[in-house]
Amino acid sequence: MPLSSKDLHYLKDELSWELLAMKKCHHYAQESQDPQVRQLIDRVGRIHQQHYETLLSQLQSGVQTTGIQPQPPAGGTMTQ
Amino acid sequence: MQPPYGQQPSTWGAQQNQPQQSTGLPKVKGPEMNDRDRLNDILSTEKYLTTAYNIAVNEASTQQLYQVQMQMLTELHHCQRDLFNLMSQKGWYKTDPAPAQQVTQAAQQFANYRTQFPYA
Repeated sequence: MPLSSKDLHYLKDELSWELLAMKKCHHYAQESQDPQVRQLIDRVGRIHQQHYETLLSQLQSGVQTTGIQPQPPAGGTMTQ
Repeated sequence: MQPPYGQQPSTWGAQQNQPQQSTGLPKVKGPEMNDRDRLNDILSTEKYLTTAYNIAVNEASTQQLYQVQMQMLTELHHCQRDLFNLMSQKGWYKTDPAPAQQVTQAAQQFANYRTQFPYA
């Protein structure tokens, strides 16, 4: 199934958020003093990285399917 | 315990002179971030993400995207809950109990509204 442009917008946003979140978790986990805090933040960060991979594969599977779709000419000549 | 959703820690922005027994946090806090700040920031991030994913799930055009994003939304909710639980355990996320009389009154009031139920 091809992605809708809305899907694409959401996927791009989500990928950016997940990337930021995993970086932040990685950074904070290193700085944390308490082992429990460090462990939890590290685990959350890894989940964000998994999510990134999941989202990316959704995007990549959209590449194949949408590639087959004929693209309508940009601008269009239907009016006037 | 109480649901954390839509709430910030009750001591948000005012980490005043509460005794922080065995938390390892300094009594007098400086400008540098501590463990509590870090947990708080990650919790905020998770809350933001769940809100965002919720909208994406509502808008997903295919069943596949709906399911994938729904799954991630659930996992983020679990992360959020784990963060809340740890903060609560450390005494960094205090919730104040509702006045007992107000709870009783509300329970009574909404129990009475059952007369308005349309289904037998």
